[in-house]
Amino acid sequence: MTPQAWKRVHNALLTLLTALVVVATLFPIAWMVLSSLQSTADLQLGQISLANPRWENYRQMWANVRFGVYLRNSLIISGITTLTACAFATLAGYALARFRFRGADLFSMAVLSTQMIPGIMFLLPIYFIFLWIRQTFGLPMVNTYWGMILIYTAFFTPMSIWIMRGFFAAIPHELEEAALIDGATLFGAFWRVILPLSAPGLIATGVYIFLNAWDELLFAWVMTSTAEVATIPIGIRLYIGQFQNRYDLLMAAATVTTIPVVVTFLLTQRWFISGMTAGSVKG
Amino acid sequence: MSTSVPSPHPAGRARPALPSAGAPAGRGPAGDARHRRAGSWRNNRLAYAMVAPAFLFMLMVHLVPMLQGIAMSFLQLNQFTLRRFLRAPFVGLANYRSVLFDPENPVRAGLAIAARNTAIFSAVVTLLVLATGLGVALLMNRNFRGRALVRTLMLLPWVVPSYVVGILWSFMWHRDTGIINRILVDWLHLLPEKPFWLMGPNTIWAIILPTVWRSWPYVFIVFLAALQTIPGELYEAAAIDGAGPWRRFRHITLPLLRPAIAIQLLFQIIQSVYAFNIVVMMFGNGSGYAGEWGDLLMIAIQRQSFQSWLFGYGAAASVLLMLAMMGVVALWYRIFRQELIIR
Amino acid sequence: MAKWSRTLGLLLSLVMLVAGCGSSGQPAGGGDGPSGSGDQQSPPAAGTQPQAPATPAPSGRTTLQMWIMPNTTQSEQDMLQLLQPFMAQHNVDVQVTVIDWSSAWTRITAAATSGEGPDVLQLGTTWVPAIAAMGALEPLSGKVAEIGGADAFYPASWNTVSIAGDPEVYAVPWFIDVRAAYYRTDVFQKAGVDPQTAFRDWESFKAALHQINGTEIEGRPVAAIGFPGKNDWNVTHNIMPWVWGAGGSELSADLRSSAINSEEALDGVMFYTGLVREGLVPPGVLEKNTSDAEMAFHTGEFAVFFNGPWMVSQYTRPESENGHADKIAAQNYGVAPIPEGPRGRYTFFGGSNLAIFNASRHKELSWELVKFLVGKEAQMAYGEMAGMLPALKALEPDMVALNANFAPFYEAARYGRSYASIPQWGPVETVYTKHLSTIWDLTAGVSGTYSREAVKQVLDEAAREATSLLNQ
Repeated sequence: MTPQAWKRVHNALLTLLTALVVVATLFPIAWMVLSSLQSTADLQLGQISLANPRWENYRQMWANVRFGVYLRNSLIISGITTLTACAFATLAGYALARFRFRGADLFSMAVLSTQMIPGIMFLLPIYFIFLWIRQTFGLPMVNTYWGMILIYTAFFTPMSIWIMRGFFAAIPHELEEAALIDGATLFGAFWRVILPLSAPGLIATGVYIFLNAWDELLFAWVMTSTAEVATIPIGIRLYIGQFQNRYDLLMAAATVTTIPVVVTFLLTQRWFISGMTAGSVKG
Repeated sequence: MSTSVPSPHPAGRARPALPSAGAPAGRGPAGDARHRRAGSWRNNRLAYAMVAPAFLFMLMVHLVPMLQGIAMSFLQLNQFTLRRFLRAPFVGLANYRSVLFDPENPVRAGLAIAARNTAIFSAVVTLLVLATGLGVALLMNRNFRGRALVRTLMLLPWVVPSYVVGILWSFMWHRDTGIINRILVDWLHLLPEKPFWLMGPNTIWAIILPTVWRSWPYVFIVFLAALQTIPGELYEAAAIDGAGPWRRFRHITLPLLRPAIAIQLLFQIIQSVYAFNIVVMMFGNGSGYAGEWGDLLMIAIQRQSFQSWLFGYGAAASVLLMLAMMGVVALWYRIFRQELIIR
Repeated sequence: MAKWSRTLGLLLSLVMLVAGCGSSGQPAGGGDGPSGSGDQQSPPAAGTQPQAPATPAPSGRTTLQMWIMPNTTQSEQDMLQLLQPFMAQHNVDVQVTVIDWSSAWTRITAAATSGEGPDVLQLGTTWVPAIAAMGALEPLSGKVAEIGGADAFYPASWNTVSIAGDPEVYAVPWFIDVRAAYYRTDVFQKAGVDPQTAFRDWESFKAALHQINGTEIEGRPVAAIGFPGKNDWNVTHNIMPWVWGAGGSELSADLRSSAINSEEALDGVMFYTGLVREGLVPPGVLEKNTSDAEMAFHTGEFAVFFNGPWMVSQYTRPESENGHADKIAAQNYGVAPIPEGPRGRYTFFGGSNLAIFNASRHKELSWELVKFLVGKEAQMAYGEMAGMLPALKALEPDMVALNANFAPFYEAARYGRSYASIPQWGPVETVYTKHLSTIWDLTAGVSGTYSREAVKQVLDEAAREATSLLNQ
């Protein structure tokens, strides 16, 4: 075989391998969408076909369970969490990347340590703290949007600090120095010069937070008690259980649940990936 | 490590407090110009102000509840005393003693099995996720048409919510009607007959694979990003020296990826030891018990705490798990210490 | 490593501090503990919703909060429809929240602990003693005469409204879930088996199953019997009738220790799992839950299936209304009693009760709501919607007139048995479920070797764990 021919074969093999990986990666997602277009009976019998797709599943799912309410709650809670956690993480990440202050090491340590606490450990304490806040200040916390947002913000801030700090460390200091020489304040330099540059990092962090908040289950189970506040993981289980078994609607709901995150991701993926490239290497 | 390559650092791991502690502070010649007028209160005030919001939230949702969680582990906290919460009877280390050594303890019974499963699960998941992520990153680290599209498609599993993953895969695992057995047995004839995946020892695979499927894309993107920062000249120089692909990988790629691998390794370990969602969704609509080969620590602790109301034991088990995790992280830190320094 | 150890040291000293506070009976830390959360009797305001205060709304109407499980296909809408007359009559709004069974236990526990919960809630019959023992439920003894008292309900039902050894009543029976045998009339006919004798006792039952096994209907062989195995919420409920039939019991007579590992209990488990070992059950069903197994029965995979009364209603409704009237089983089924064991005929008796949280600020109204729901019209209507039997004995003739297939379920309500009504039953059931799951692994042959000794070993472990729970 000539080197040239060998190279061609080699490339063909790589292409084939890539195609295989893509198929294996996407197959379960395709299967989910396909399953959402069957009847319950066909699903249980494993007779899945595209002969007559049941689009009405996508209509029925909203009536069978008040899915719109759960979707709204998830969007509100995850959306606001993304904004708050991103803001906190940007500030703290910048401080850690650029300043040396007393306690910085301890704080960095604490940030890392939060990831080591099993969630189940503070579930009950947080519940009681929320009750105490209510009894002391008259401010309801359990089963409220802001209670959930508070918890989620705190949950996802540490990791986001970590990520943001990596981005800021990758930005050369000379930029701030130039701004300082031009008479900007320290904060002004950060606000007007550095922040615009770190947009990809911000988006990457935001996507990360949103996905995580969208995905949280354990605290949502315990901390919400009415449909007005409960998120999708709670609502989605109502399709199946002792008195109905609507796997078809469940799969439709699962597909609908996945759409917002996929769309968010597709819209931001260009920045996300460049953000990851800039920052992830840094930590 | 060559200093000409920008080297990764973890955030979260503070820089050495003194320049003499190894690395020069700052990067390159501009190092001294960083705003580190040590002791300058004005700068520090700004730094404190910037850290404050995050700090307050972490204090309220992490530190205080964690201390209470630890306190709970010293109390006799069950269904009869729960309403008194932190004023439940104090029993010192009795919960720990009981969870660790008392054969009659109801919590301990399930924990040993769950610990074994968690160890297997975490090791296999971490290994598979890192290997797949690295392998696919190497595969994709070349120019071909449609590369951006393929890269995006590969990231999709990572954005599917984990509770959806659990439901979806439980469906695919069904013995008679599930698609997986149909592919393995009816189409590819890899197995003589259709096995059970949701019962018996196979359960561990039934929870490992979906977890890997959902986790590897993220690692892949991180590795791909890291690969793209490696200058091509290094490879060219090595090729001129007559190094084959394997040696180039071993002596150039791997050392330069070490920091990224170190960080991802740690996150994967933490994530898989604390895995919860996928398994709960896969088996939660049944007995809530994934079986002798599917029960993980987080789920076992949750079950014992909330279904059996043995909160004191549950808290003790959580603390032990956290200590074990700290041990793992400390070990990890010792091994990868060198990679974690900013140069 | 120096930093690590310093931090750990700091953490540990903090822990000691907190623990020290805890030991002296003080709330931990400087005001960071919910010091007032537990014992205080002043009920916090009920409505946990910011926009819906519990005090009379501007319209002058009170809002009652109610939690239910998914009892019907469209649980929330169905319930609100049922409550229309009540809301109009009393000029109140009822806010209905549906919580799914798997998270219900956790959420009700949390609510019971904190007093932050609904006014009225549905409780699975086995949960009443546990939640009552937490001191969260309003005692109702003084009021039950208004709904006819114990005589209006079935004994097994009334057994579940109080704690064993305590005469106080904490809940009111709402509806009954009791199990009987659904069987395919066409299969029995084709195989020449008489259902009357088939369900007489264990022996005749097993013989009949062997005879019908593999009978072909429309060219498809039908297996004899199917039931869910380990991945099901009914693991314990499915096995206990066989344990009782063999003379076993879930707990010892003094309720202090487990009896799940007695020889009699073992006989029952061996008989039930033996049906699988003798090839009468299609193995695939063992990984499914009850709903999945139901579907397999609807579509004709097996000829006998033990289940609750709801399938009777489903077989009268078209698919568009979540029914199964179009399935093959709907036109060819009958209901028979559970076969009688060597030591008697028993079946699982469960269902749901209604209770009032004692933190409720509208106890009178809540009681009115409960009274409305156990009244004749509401009982009949909801029984039909949920496919469960109304708890009121007086409605039996009406239900049987509605559908003759309910009759065997009413018979079952008489030989049905509910579990020991003790506060620890919930946790004990969790333990039983966990271990009995392992038996299904053995039975299906996916791990270990199935033998009487192996099953006995599993039951011993279950008994040990359950007994230690009872002694906590």
